[in-house]
Amino acid sequence: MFKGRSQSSRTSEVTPVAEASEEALLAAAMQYDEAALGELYDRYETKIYTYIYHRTGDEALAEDFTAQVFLRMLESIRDQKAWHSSFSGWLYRIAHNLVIDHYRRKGRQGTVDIDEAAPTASEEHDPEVTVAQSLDAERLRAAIRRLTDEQAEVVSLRFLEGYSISEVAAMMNRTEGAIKALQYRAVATLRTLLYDQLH
Amino acid sequence: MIPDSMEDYFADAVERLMGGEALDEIVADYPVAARQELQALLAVVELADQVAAVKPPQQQPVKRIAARVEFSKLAAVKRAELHATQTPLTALATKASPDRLVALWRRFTAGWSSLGAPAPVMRLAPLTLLLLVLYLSTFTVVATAQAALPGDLAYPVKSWIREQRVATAPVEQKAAERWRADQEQAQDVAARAEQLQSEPDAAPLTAVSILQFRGFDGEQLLLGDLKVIPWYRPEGGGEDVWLPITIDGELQPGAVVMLRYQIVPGASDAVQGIALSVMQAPPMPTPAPTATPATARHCQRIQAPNWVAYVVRAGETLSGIAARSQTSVSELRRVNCLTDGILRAGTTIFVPNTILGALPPAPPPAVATAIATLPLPTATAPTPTITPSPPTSAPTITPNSTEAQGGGAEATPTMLPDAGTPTVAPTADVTAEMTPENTTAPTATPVATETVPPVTTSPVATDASPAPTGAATEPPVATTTEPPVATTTEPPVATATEPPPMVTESATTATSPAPDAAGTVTAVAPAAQNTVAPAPVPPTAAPAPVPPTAALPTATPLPPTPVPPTAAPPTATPLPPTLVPSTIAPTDAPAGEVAPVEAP
Repeated sequence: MFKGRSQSSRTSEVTPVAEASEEALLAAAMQYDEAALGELYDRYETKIYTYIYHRTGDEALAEDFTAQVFLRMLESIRDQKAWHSSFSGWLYRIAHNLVIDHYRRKGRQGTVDIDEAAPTASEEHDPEVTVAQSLDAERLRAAIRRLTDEQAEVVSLRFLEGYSISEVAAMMNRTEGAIKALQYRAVATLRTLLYDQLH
Repeated sequence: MIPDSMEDYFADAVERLMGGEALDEIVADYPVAARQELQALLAVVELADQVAAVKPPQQQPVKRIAARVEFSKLAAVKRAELHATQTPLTALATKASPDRLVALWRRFTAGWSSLGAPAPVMRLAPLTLLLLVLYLSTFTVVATAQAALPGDLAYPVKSWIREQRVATAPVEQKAAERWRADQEQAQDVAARAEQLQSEPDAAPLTAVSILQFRGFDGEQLLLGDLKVIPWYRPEGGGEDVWLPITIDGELQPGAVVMLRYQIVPGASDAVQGIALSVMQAPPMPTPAPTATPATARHCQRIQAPNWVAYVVRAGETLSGIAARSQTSVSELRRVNCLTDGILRAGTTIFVPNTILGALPPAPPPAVATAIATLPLPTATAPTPTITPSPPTSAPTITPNSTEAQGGGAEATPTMLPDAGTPTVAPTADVTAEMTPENTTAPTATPVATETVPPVTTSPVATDASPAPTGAATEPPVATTTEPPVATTTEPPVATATEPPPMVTESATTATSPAPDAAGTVTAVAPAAQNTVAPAPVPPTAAPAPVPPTAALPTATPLPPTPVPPTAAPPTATPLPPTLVPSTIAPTDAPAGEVAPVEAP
């Protein structure tokens, strides 16, 4: 159905994968179409990787989990009910679950061992600030992990990934008003968690 | 737009913050009450923003490519799996049906697989469901049929299943299965009749069944375990409107017929026959002439147990007699040594005791009285063979069989006198029976062969033993008297029959007995003869041949004596030479060999 970018497109009726709509791609992906699946992978791999990194602060973990997200995607791609509302939202949810499961198993509560903390790629050159920043970042991530699934999703997608309210609403299959309410509650909770730690 | 809740304030403020505005400036725009919270919240958002600003380190290409490859591999595997499960069904579909069906099937199965279950399993689900439905429907039909009663929709199915059971039964069990099936049918009819009875407005139900015809009971037909009245009241007709049953085919006992009948509420064992069609001719019954001398050089007439002497009436045919007695013409010929095709009226032949429709004429009263005086030799014999013949015929006559049962019956009365010779072993049991029988028999006989019997009786008497047997034969005649008597006489009759033929002839000439009796002189005469003959013979027939033999000698002399002069002489005269010896001889040779009659 689709032709990969690598292949020369001779037949006019075939749509180049890069131009295909997500709907068409998904339809083909359900049949495990090689080209379609490849395109989807390429479109979302970086985003998922970034997301997981933001949530964990750990590069290795992010790489590992990203691969896992797409493998899991293959297992369930034929179950249209799971992702019919938003494919990307579905992928992010898979990622979120992986992160949560990971930390649940690890039993981490909030603080992270400084030695285990990933090296921060900060633009700050002042080590003190960098350290402070990394500590803060970790505290935030930890705090986010303590939110409900939905709150964590909203906060991550909204403030870590920068999606708009309408985009988040589409991804989570909720109304905009619901998203507003969620983000407010989520941030309020985060504030409590963070300030409790601090004070 | 003025936000009216914290959520809205916050949402708005966040938008501005993400837009690049300074936190303090944003907060200042909101109501004082909200400022503190807003500030705190926005601070968190700022922190999140900082975290978000940290770009993840570049992924190592090797790892990334490895991950991509892993993904492609899995995709390929999944693809192969999918095609594997898709191909068989689609191939089938393409071969067998037009494209539209194929597309339909594909869509259907695709829908199934989208449920998330493993593809191969789900593809077969529709097929499995179909098979399950088929099985359940068949099961339901059969189960419903099992509970069906005549008149129900499913009853033919039940009947069909039953017939299959009979048809597939091994040869040795076929008769038993047939009877069992017939019994079940009768039970179904009874159940339905009972059920109808409890319904006030129930109308008679019509049903069709396959049964085995077993014979007649008066006017009724006996089919299986059911009695069928050869009339039916058609629907719509009045209370008194009856139509006769239509019969298609030759109705012989043992035939399997299909009967359409009407069940009457309350009548549990009788139905009204509407139409009958013969499906299968009856199997030839196996006669059981025990004493058949296989090595006999010439045909010997032997009376087998369960066979009685029967006097042929004018107008009767061997086939008719055979049909009525559940035997075959060839069997009759064989047993009776009838080589030519002529069957004379008045001839006494042996027939199975299951013969129906034998109506012996009333025996002449004279004979009866004469015989009455004679004591019944119980000895004679056994048995029961004679019984059957009488039933249809005039009860009285039975013993004498002047009519049908054959002379033997008559002989019995004569034999009575011989009662004294119970020696005839078989007669032993007969004796007891005989006595009573004798009394009755005589009455019977007289009716039958008024003229002749008396005659015959005397000679009969001589064979004391035979006599009893004769008496035994009587019993059959003695429908009136007693069956036992008849039975006993049977055997004797058998043996006696030997002589009878001879006797008959002579008798016919000699005795021209009560013309009025049987309505046919000939018939009567032979009867007389028969009586004589059978008497002596009985013992030989079924029961222990030996005793009779022994008894015979004694009997021989006796018979004559017991027989009142009235009876004896007349008969004896014409036949004495033949009669007496015959009586004796037969006994001597139970084998049934009609030994030449020696003169007494």
